[in-house]
Amino acid sequence: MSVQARFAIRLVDEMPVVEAWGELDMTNVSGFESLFAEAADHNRGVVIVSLAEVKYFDSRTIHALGLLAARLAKNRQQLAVVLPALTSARIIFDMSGLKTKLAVFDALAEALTFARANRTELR
Amino acid sequence: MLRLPDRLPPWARAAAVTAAVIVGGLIGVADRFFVRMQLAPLEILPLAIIAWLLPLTVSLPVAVLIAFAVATEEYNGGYHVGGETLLEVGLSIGFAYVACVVLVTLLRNATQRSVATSEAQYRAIGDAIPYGVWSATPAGEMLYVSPSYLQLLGAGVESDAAFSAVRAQCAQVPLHSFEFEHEHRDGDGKVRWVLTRGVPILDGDAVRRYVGINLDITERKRSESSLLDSEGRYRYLAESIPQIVWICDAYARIEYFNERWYAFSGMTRGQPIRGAFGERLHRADADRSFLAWVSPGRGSEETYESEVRLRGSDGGYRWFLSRAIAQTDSAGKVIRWFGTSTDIDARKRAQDQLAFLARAGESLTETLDVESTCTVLARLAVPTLADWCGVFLLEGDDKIRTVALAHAEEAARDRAWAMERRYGRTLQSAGIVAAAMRTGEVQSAGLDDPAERRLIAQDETHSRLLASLDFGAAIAIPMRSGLRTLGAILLIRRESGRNFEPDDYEIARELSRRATVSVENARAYDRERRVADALQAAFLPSMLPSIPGLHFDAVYVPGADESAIGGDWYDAFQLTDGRIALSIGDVAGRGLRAAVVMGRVREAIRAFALQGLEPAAILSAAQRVLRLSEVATMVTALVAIADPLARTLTFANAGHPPAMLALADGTIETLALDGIPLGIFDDIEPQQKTVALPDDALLVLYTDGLIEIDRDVVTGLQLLRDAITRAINSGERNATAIYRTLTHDRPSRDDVAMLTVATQRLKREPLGLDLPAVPESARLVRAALQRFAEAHALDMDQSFTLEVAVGEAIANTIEHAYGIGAGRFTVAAREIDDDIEVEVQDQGQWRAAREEGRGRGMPIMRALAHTVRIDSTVGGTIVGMTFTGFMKRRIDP
Repeated sequence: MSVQARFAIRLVDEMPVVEAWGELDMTNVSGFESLFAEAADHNRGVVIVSLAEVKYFDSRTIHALGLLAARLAKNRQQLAVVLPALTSARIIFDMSGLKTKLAVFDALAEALTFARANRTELR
Repeated sequence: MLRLPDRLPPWARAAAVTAAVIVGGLIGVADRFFVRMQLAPLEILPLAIIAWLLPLTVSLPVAVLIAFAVATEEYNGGYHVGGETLLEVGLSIGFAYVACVVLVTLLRNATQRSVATSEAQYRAIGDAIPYGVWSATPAGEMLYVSPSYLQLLGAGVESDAAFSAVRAQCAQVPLHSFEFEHEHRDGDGKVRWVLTRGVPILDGDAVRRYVGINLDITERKRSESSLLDSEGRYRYLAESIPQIVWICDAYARIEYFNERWYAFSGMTRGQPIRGAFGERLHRADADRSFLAWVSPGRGSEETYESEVRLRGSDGGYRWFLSRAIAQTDSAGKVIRWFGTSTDIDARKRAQDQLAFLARAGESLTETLDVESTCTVLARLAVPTLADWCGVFLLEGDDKIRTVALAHAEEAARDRAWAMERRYGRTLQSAGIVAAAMRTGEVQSAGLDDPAERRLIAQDETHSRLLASLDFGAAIAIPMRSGLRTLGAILLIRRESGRNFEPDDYEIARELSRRATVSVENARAYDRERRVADALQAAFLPSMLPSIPGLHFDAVYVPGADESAIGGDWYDAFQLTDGRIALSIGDVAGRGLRAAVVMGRVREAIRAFALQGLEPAAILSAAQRVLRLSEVATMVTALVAIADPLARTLTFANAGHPPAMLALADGTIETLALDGIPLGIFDDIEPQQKTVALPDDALLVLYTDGLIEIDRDVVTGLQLLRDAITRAINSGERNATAIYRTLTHDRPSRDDVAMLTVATQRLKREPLGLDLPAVPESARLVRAALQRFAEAHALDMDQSFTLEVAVGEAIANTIEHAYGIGAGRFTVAAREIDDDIEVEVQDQGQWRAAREEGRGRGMPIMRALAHTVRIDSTVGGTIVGMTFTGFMKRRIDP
């Protein structure tokens, strides 16, 4: 049984953006994680993960985001997370302490601005 | 040839006498003036008569003699005549005589001329007409024959020979007309037939002559001869053909039977036959007999044909096909009927036997129950084959069981049953039933024979009972399948009834053969049914899920028709994520095979549902499993997954009757969705749909047996809707109530399966969950908490807080307490004053984070809940959390 959640990866201004919809928990977080590697392989300096449409996530999701951020850092890349302010999810995320290590934005546009500023040009 | 008569006819004579008297008178008057004769006119009369009556040769001498005598007497003075002289007297007499002679001669000549004229005319007529006309003397001498007569005789025929027959007839019958037919050969030697008619012309009592005609009747005689010959042939034909030939008048009174009738009926010629048919007609055939059909008003265009039974000389009835056609007069009125009656007894009995056996075959296959089969068999045999029938089956090695008894009279049958119950049989018993089973041969007996009864009877009472049952001839036919004896059929005719004929034996054997097959089939089916029942019972869920907020109920009723054990099923079970999988279906076909297929499909659906497939995918996967089956079978199925927390129903349909969803407002939605049944095509692509399962709704899944109770699906669907409505209104929202309302406890011919799911309104009550410790349970817990929050009027943030905090607790349980896939855990939430308390309990050990970066669960829990306690013991771990003030400021929903 798979919890009703959906994941996708796309390039916006050549920047990899991983998006999720629905509820993220231990049942599907691995699928979400699998997209992180692909996004990192674009090697654009920043990977954007949008949780704007996620209705629920737990500490496993937060853990997965932490691992991703650590992997990107090894390649001199950064993780930008989109989580609208003043939402319960944002509050939970903030409580996790990860916000100190990650760039968190209220909207995808802000994250893209950040990404463009830190883009790594391909050789 | 012409001979004129020498005597005048009477009228001519009278006229002549009168004329003579007148003339004599005139002469007398003249005499007084000329010779002064004193003779009165009357005195001349004798002379005139003499002159008239006697020939001239006689009358003249007589007249002279008289004259001389008178003259002599006068001369002698002895006779004086008025003073005249003798000469005067003689002259007077002479004058008178001469006058008479002259007058008579004149008259005679005139008469002869008249007769000659008549003869000439007569001959002219005779010559003109085409018939042979003749006249003859009383002696047969031909006076005249017409030319046609001569032509009829033919050239060269000797007249005397030709006229001899007429002559002889004239001589034999002198005073009467006559008519006769005679033949003679003409000049060419050909035989000609002549009809002669003669009429005598009488003169007083004497025949003066005969006149007559001759007609050539040769052609008529030939025709008559031909007709006689034809009649003879037809009579010969009537006597030689194998049918009974009969002729009757318009009122059906028999006038003629051919010999066949007498041979059949035993009647003898000379006996009255007018009512013979009616006397020998079978009473049951009276309405369609010729006697009932025929009437004077029947037209000639109508033909009678019917099959009736007639009693023969042996007292038995035989079937005849009777046909009749009418003979009519010139006005078209029926004057008689010609009929045949063909013996069709053998054919009819063969037809009846075939029809009986066909009927028997149908009846025996209508049931697959051994007892019913034997009862049908016994009822079939009475009264067609016998007055009594008993069916006996061998049970075990020795015991003979009486399974069925039939008799036209209920009281007699009851007495026989009582006797059978009291005096059982074994294979070693006396009597033809046991003998037939032992030997495998047909046995016969005369049960009207006291000696035979004594042989069978087990005691005196038994003997008396046998005697009271009016038993006559009896035969017992074994029921054998190969070398195995199943039982025997006993046929008995009443004491007064007929014996069993060879045909009866044959039909009884055939009936036994068919009954044996049916009994074997019934026994085989009985075994199969028991297995199928066991299989079906095994495949149906022993218990239904118990989910807060949902109430399940189901009905499974086997079809009333014993041959209709079908492959219907229903199923409901909880998936690992807490959702409920529902399935209902129907396997085409009956019996063990259907039950096996049903089990296979049901288990496939279970397996694929547990794998996490959605309803449409489950049906597709089940279709692939079904296609692997060696036997092509069609299965209709409906698969649904109910989410008790999200209150949704996702379903897909493969050709199954659509589910019905009754809502709280009374509306009933038909959850229609296209889908083809399983087992027909290689690939199916079922559609899938999700609908809401609101509070106080009732979901009804069913098989077609429920809506086909009265064989009318449209009506059945409406009745189902009515029953659902009534169930909702009565508060009995379950399958049992719906079924009872719909069927009034009448058995359905087909199997009926029905599954209902009733949703219950949210209540502000504690939450209790008992779930498997699997990742999928996490979502179930969240959904439950959402509903709990909704029921307790928590806001979205509070609800989310509950979800996240409790979610972390159960995630730890699932991940660490047992290892994934083992054990269960419970979640309990309740309101206490203004607070919400939650406990998550498992039977494992709480474990802290074991890898870097993990361990955020506990901080999150502590951040969200006002208090968090973890009680970990050997028996398990309890994580308790209190959310203080969550119920403060809340308004009851």
